[in-house]
Amino acid sequence: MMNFQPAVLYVEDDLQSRRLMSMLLKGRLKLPHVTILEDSENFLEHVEALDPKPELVLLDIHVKPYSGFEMLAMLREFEWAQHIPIVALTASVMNEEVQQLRRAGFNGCLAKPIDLDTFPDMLERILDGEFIWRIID
Amino acid sequence: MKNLSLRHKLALSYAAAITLVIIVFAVAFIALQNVQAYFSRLSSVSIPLVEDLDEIKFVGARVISSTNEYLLDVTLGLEEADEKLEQVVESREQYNQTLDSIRSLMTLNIHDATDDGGLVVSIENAGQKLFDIVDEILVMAENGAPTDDIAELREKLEPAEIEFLAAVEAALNEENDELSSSSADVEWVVTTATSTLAVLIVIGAALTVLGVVYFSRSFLLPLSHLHKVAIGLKDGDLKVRGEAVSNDEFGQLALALNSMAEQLEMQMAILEDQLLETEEARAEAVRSDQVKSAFLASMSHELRTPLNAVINFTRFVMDGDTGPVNEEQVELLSQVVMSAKHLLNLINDVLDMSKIEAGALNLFIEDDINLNALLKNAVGTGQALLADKSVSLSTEIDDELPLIRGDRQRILQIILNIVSNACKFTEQGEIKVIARRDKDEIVVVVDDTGPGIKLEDQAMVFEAFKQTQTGLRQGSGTGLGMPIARSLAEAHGGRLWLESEYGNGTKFYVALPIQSESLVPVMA
Repeated sequence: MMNFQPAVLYVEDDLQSRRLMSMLLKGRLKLPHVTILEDSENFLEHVEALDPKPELVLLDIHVKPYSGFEMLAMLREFEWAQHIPIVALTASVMNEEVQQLRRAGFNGCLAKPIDLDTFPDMLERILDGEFIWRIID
Repeated sequence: MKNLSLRHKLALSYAAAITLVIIVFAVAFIALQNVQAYFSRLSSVSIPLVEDLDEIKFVGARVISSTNEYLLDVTLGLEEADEKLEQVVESREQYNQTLDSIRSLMTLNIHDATDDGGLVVSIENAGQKLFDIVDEILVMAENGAPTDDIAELREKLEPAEIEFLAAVEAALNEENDELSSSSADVEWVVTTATSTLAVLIVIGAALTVLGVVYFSRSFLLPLSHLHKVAIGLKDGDLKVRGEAVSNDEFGQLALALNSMAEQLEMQMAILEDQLLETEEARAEAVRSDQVKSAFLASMSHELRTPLNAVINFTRFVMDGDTGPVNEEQVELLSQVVMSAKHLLNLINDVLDMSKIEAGALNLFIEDDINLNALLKNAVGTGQALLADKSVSLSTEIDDELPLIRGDRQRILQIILNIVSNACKFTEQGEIKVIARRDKDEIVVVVDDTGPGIKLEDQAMVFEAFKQTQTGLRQGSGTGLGMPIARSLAEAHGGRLWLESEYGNGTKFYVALPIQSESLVPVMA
């Protein structure tokens, strides 16, 4: 259980990953506001419709039609999203890819497969303002 | 002239100069010879001849005067008469001697030798005629002939004397003519020689000026031209060519320079071609590396995504999130998780190894990496591995370890690798993790009391896909950990090596440069 229960937005095109994160965020962590999108179609409309606004965003990178990078840029246009942590959750964790994520302005990168034991702790640290680029555990 | 070499041109000009000098000397020599001949003839012929001719005039007159005195003495009956007769005879002898001398001198005359002979003959004849009359008078006087007869004969004496003197005078005139003609000859020779020399000197001066102009043109013009060509070549204009204006050494130099320029141009073209080929090969290699990198990235992504589901769905079931599970089920499911994690490690290692071998290993370089934190992280992981063993894990870390430049994740990977390696193989005793600064490096030592590695197996530790017997028995790991760790250390400009004695534990060393200039931070 997390001390602070943020509203979370998660965009992921892989069904198993969505189920997994749903079980973790909703089931284990019992977060009250978890929105999971299966693609980035009409992303802006979906985001604008959100209430409450997310306080933590997890983005897969290989999403269509807008990639994680494009969604990040779109989100940062919103006043409320200027300073919330936006984290990449991806299986593409080779150095070059992580470098791109850092340059693009993500607040961190969490690698798949995720570690259930350490994942909640890392989310807390990211919410505390830490930048985490965890590839190897 | 254009076809002559410089050597020949120079030889030719020297020959011309020498010829000119020889001609000048010859002309001067001839002139001097003439002058000398003139003066020698003057002293050896002309002067004695004129003296002899004067002498003979005088001697002839004395014969007549002596004869007249004798006649007078005889007439007066004086005793001096005999003396006078002797004087006549003496004078006649002197006359003959002088005449001989004249004759011989006359033959030495160069001009009109026949005429000279004629002159001597006319002197001789006139003299003879004179002396015939004298003889006749003397005979008559001796015989006591009548005075009137003698006087009649003496009348003839005067015209004979005049004739004789005229003959001598003619010879004198002739000799004077001869002398003046000789002197005119000499004058002509000297004048001619002087003007010839003047002309030759003018010609020589003109030739010298022309020669200087010609040679400076044939030296300086080609020299400055070739200089320009050489400068052009130096400045990289390989298209410049020298003009072979003449066939001399400069022409040959120009041709040599041209063939050098052609060679250079050809070599440059070859070099440029090779450069292009190298460039293409390099671009091809880069493309191929990019393809490999993209493939590896894709592989990593494709393998990790299903493993995420395998590991974590199993965890949810195992942890009872989906309903109660019994002990046996938990045990089996934990085996699934462990095997899946092992598979993940294998995938990570194989991908790392592939990246290293493809030359696609890119470091994420940062400054100010705190090794202390990484060491603590690694030691923590090691302690978890030692949970079931009676092995102590201690650290001796220098308090003032400097921050270093490198790839944080990769350095952690290196240290984790040697620490977990020691933890896996050490069954009892202790493991020490030591970190200290050594000049420009940080050296991390992991010292264990494990089984040690046989000398013959030590190299194998760092070879990919090879494991020692002990490693194989241990049964976990891919055999790629150490080769990857060493490659990562070397990619940082560092080293990784081991010291071990079989049965007496192993020391793994990692030396990493503190501030390697060849590593460029990503976010400088």
